[in-house]
Amino acid sequence: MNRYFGQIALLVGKDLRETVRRPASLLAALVFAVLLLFIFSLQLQAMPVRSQDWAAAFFWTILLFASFFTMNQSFAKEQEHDCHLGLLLAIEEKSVLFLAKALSNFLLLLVLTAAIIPLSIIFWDLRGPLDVPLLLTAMVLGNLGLSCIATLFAGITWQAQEQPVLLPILALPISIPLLLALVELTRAALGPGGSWSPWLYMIALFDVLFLMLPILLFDFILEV
Amino acid sequence: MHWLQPLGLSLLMLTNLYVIFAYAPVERTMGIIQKIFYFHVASAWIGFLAFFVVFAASIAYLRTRSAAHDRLAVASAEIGTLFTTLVLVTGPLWARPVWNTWWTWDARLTSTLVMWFMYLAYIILQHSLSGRTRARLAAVYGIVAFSNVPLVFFSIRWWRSLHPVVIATDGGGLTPPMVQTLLFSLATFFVLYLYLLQYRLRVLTLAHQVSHVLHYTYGEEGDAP
Repeated sequence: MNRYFGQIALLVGKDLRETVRRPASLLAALVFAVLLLFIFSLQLQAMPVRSQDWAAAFFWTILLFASFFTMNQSFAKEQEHDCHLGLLLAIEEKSVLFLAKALSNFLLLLVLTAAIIPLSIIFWDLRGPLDVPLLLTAMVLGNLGLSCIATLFAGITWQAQEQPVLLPILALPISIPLLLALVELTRAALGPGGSWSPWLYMIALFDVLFLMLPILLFDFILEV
Repeated sequence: MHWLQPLGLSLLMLTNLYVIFAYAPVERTMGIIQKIFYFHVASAWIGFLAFFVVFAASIAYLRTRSAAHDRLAVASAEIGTLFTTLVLVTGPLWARPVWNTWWTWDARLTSTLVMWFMYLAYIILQHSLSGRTRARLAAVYGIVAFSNVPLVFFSIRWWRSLHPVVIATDGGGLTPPMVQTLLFSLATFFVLYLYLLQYRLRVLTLAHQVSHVLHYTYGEEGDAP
């Protein structure tokens, strides 16, 4: 069991070091997210709606789209010098690779989130009573769910031909329950909202399901 | 005797039309428009059944690796998507005069649309992979997609119940002849599903055999399931 988690930690460390040394794809995702934020703000500033009402929905849409940018590469980049074969030989179980990639993607998503939140508060003029603990819960659980789905499908799509468009096509319909729940929870955190506890349960249920399913199925995904 | 099956199916479909238009009574408030209900509901149930077959066949494929299970999943997903498309077309046709809107974000409508998107993705995935990798990865997606359906349904239901509901869900109030007609229509659509399924399976089996022949004659990689 210790070896299992040791291998996960080793792989996460490798991915993070790689991102620090070669930050191009994370930076590209960040620039893409900021561009999306700018375009949405530009079009919505003329409309007579309160920013609290749509901020949560656009925030998660932006994050979802930007996240595909970085996660698309999470398995494909291992093909360089047949690195994926070495990885598969080295790890104890294939779920190690899933958990390591999901964890490093989760950390990258947190970086993206931390960068977009201040910008969206400035651009969208959000000044309601912020419920910070609830907002943090939404960010952590939401990004965990997003990284689990995207990692699962990135594991599938790197073996396919139309790889870059395939990831959003597979992942977007599956992520709809998570997206709805996240938007409602974040909306509640941004201002006086309604009841949010069912949405918290929904996100928790989604996270558990999409942590367990890939652990069970990853043996079949990464068969050589 | 290849013509026997299509002939039998045509007779059954014609009988179904007769039952729907002559036997079932015309609904008092909606009038003749209500007849679309018998096609709509039957397609919806059969579509869902087809997706369940994809789920079961995908699990069976990953356990046994038999090409027959893979072909069953491929064929059933295509037919299920076809029936779900029929649901999404007949629904708005009925809703426009009755609910006075083409579309509403009701839990059943929205989850059907999401399910349609998922199986469209499944078919696209099938076509962008080849060989055993295709069968294996598509089976994984077939399992994940169906496991997600309850979450989709309940999330949209909660989401709607927290927002104002513009239009209430359609009530029951079916008379016994209407229920009998629905059951007859359901049986007809089930037979149609079975017919299309075995037809598609035969085509896929033949394609598989052709790719085998090509492989042994020219050494080409065949990628039919």
